[in-house]
Amino acid sequence: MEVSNVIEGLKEQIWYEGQMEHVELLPAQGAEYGDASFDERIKDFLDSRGIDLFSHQARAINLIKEGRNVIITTPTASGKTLAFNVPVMDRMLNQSESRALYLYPTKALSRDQLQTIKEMEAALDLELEPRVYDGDTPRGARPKIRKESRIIISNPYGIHHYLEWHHKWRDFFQNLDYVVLDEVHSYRGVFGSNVAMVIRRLKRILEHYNSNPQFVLSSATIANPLEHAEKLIGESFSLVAEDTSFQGNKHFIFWNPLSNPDNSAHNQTSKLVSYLVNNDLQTLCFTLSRRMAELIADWSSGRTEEAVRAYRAGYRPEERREIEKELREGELRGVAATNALELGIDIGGLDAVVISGYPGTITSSWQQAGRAGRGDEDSLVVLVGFENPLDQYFLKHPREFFERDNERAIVDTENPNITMGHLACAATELPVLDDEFLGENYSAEMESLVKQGVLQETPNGAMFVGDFRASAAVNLDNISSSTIKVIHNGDLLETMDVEQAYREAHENATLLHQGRKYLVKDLDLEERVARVSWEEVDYFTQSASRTKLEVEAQESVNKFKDVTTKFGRVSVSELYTHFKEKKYDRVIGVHPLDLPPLEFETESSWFRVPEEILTSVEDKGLDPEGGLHAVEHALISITPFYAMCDRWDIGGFSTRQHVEGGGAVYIYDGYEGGIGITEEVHEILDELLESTLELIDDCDCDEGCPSCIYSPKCGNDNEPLDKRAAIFILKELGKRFGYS
Amino acid sequence: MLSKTGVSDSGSGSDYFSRIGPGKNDPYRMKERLLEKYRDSDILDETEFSIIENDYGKTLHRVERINKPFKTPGTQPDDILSDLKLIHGIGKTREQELKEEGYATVPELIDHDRWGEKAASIVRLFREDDIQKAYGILRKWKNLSDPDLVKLAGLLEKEDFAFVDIETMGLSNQPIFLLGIAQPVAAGILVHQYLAGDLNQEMATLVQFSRKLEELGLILTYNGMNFDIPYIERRLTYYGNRVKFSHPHLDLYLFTKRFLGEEVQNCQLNTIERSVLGIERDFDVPSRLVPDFYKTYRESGNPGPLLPILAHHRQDVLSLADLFQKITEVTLDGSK
Repeated sequence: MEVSNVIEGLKEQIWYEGQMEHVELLPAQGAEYGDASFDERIKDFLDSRGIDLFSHQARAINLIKEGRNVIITTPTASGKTLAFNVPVMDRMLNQSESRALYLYPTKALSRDQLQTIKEMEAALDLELEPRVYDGDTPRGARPKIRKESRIIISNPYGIHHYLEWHHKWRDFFQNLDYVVLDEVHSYRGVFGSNVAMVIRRLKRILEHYNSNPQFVLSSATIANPLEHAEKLIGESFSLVAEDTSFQGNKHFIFWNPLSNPDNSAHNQTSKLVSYLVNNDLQTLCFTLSRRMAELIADWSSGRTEEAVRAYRAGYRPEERREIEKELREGELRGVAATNALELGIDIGGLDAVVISGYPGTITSSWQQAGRAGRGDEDSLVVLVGFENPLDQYFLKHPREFFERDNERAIVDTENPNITMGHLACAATELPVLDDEFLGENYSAEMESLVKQGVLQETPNGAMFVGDFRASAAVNLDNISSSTIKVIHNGDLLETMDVEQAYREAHENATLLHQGRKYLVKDLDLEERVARVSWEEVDYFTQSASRTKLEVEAQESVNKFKDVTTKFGRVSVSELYTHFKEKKYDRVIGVHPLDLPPLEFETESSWFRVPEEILTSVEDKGLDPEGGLHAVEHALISITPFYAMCDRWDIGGFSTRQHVEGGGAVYIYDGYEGGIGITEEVHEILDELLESTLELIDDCDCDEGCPSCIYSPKCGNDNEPLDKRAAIFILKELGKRFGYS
Repeated sequence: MLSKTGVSDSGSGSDYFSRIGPGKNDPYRMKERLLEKYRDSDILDETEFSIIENDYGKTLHRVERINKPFKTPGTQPDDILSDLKLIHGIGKTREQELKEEGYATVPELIDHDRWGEKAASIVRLFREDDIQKAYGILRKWKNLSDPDLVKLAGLLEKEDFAFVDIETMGLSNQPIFLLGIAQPVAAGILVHQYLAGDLNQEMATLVQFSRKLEELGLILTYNGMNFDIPYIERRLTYYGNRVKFSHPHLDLYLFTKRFLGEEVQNCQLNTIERSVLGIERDFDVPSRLVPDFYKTYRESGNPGPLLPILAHHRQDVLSLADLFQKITEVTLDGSK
């Protein structure tokens, strides 16, 4: 059915009460084509598939063939993959020993790309033995792959561990001509900084083998692509950003569920999905949680003839492959997924995308919206905003959404908490010859490692003498490696991480899996197993938690004019206290939970806000809690400008009732043990607070907005927040800190 | 005990090593006692190690002559050449047929229409003492515990034998701090020990060891194919010295498993020593604590904890020599 007709039809539905706050038409764009020079055989291959190169693809190919490092940031489905596969295949055809390394952030993506490469290889009559080489590759298969495969697909976690055995990779490294990194916008914050260090270690080893490959990067749109590429790899890059592929009209609807208060946002989402599927539009719905993906799929299926399936990371690989295939082939008409489907897995273009809840960044929003659109046909995107102030803000100010810059990706190669671990790893790979480590000077860190007995100087450079495995001691990201297995009748149903299990697989929780309901009989945290049985109950469960922060040890203080700020170790705990049994939106039961708190210890910087300030806030009829909470959010927004981190790397906590009276605001590192971010800003807290005041005060909004006090990851749904209270508090603090 | 050349002559063995004393059941208490006893001492005082300097720095070396007889299998090339299957293309059936036709050895096939050329080149290898190439041929058709490999070893002089064992700080990529070679000579067996006085001497130590090893013609180890030799090569590569030892290599663990395995509880060297070779050791540091003991020595300079490791290592290479003779007995008895 025609998209515009579908939209009109939507307005006739019973449950439609004016939810469409805004409809933006992103107009169709004709394609621009271009030419590039490469092997005839590849041209024949493209011709046989009816593929003409878009100018941005041609431009990228030409730049790569010229020998430059290139970063491509055109949207998903713009043919980025071809832009780097063509030059790589061209080299493979013309140089028999050439090798290429492809790195992806997830295993699912790795396997997806393998298929694409194999197709091209077959069509070009090449024998490259392309293989995935990662944690899942059996030991016995590895030597053959290293020896024979000319294209190896892996991921940064793997490379981090393999570098110590680089002599086994000698042939591969010596002949390495290309290193391709996809989805590099995901390499940001602390994770990105770790990946940048792994790349530096890789380059150091490549240099040892006299190898100097080109780097080709692909990324979602971010505000600073060139800077990011150069930070990540340590070399200069050329940028290809203009999307010249064709696009059909994209109708972008902003949907506000609040206009129909009788139906919850989730309910309306599922009604939208069923409606679209019933009107023959292949629809993908992105949800904010794995549970919601299951629920939406379940509810929508109840109203459609065609099945609507759920998709998420915890599914077994075979299940995910099946769903991706059915989507690609058009068989599966509706899917509700988490952002696991956001990254480039090939599922073809869909007719409609429903985004259920603002995903937190503009970049993600466009990644998700980018899944809509088949060639030059019309497509539809519906952004369903939830009740929280952040979502509502965008619904009411659509221009802010459409004109907003994508986020910046930030990488820090100077944080010793991050770099020292990698220097130790490097010393297990080759003795570290001098203090210059690929362009950066790490002499202070090296000295520290020697003092700690981790490294020892030798006439050949510093060697590793620690009695632990260096690569095992360095974690690239914060993802806990402990997973819980969900078992049904002795078989593995799916996996989830510990935090998720607390939230969704506690005893007596309902667990949806592919439309079937299971009840959790028992969650065994020691054995890491959740046992479920299949029960068709007519309700679902939802758990609730409370966050607490406790100071474990104060380590230092900083004295400003009339106030002292503190820094030290804290423990942040999330306690799941009870769960509700619900039928759609109605609560039919509440039960307590007996789970230990999820705790992690980290470092934090905090300051107290004296009672007199908060009382004055109340006297003005403003909300002191809302003010403190808003200050906390704004402080977190500001920190990345001072500490080279990502806002997702830090957390915050505020309270109206500090034990010593008055209130307090805490910011902490989001990493077990701390990572040095708040330690750095603790010294200059006065500067940060001054900038925070400027941020909020200068903001044109009335009550608050995502630019100042709304946070995309607030555990409290951005409630309570009081902009005016925040300004007052910060001005009063200014007198005591000595700013403004 | 010390002769002028720095080689010590010992009788049945380890006089000063046996000064260690009782308490062999608790390694930590033993370590304490050793630290106390050797508190004001240093490695050069307590042992016959001397400092050697090469292009890669300093290292410690010790050589000791043990008065122990050693006999090689003393085989002749023709002992191996009676196996017609050495020729590519001749399997059990063909060998049977050819033997029935009267061809008892490979040399007798030199005039054969089909197999003549191949037979000739093999005979050349064995008779010209190109042991490396001969080993290559045997490796292609034989498995690693085939008695023909023992016969091959018998073609060499005993001075060419290198029984090798190492001590490391871990199991995969951590530094090697001690390497040993037991080399049979006319008047007994020479035990060479190469010790890194500190981990930053590892490279110099590896190089000193490698130089000695390159002088010899045959490597014999216990599980060295999987562990010792690749480990040494890996550590040399780490320092930028890409070396691959091209010696013929007999891994006695494989022979032990095949020919002695049924009579013993397990094939750990300790067990074999006790059950098959009749060797009992005094206090012995458990393998998993070896890195810890070396670390203590390294951090304190106190040679105490190092002494039992040196003794243990010394016995390891000597046991290998005994084990080889036992294996020769078991595999070649009657089949010569």
